[in-house]
Amino acid sequence: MLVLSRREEESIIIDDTIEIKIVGIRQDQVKIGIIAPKNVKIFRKEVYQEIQEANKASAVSSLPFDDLKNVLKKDKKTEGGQS
Amino acid sequence: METIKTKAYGEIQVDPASQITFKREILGFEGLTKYYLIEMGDLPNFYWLQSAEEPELAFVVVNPRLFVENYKLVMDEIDWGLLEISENDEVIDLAIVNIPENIHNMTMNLLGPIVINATKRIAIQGISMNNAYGTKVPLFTKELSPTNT
Repeated sequence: MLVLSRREEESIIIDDTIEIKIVGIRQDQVKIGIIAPKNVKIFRKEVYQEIQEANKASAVSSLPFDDLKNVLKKDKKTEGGQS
Repeated sequence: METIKTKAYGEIQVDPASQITFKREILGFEGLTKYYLIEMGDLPNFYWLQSAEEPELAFVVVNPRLFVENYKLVMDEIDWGLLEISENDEVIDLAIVNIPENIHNMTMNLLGPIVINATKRIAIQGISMNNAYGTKVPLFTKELSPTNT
């Protein structure tokens, strides 16, 4: 991993087109501004991790099929026919 | 027709033309791009998203609109671009369901929707731009849950 030291208001440029700027620093948090072309996808890493974890948890070992049908029936009834 | 192995039903016959190719794979299952969407016989609106490459890998998916009022799919242009949608293409979007031991507490993942260009058989797991949706949205509201009575 490349590690660079930057001060507030300083930037780094990646691949000529992406600018990452240190907008603010306070105690344990750094505010980062990103200027990038529209086709560059930017998300907090946690978003990916969260989706990945949810996917793995959902790759279930088995489906309690009959239980599921009963729950759905009950739910439909409680909703009063709303579809 | 072609015979494939499935997690839920063992060997079944599928039309190879109905195979779906993921342009962006399901996160955590990179490298697996071929899936079939299989209807659950007597459970309407629920489907299996069955890997064509890994028989033991299958997800339960559902139309989120059945459980969340006014659900809107919001994705960025990059995600939409991957789906190569032309004018008359049919687009289907689904949510992966998580089924815990107590199935009354089932949730669905609205942060990472499964979006399919059904006409071109192309799919992605998108990333929702709607911050209100998380990965664990209950299918049944607490008031309706029989366990809460």
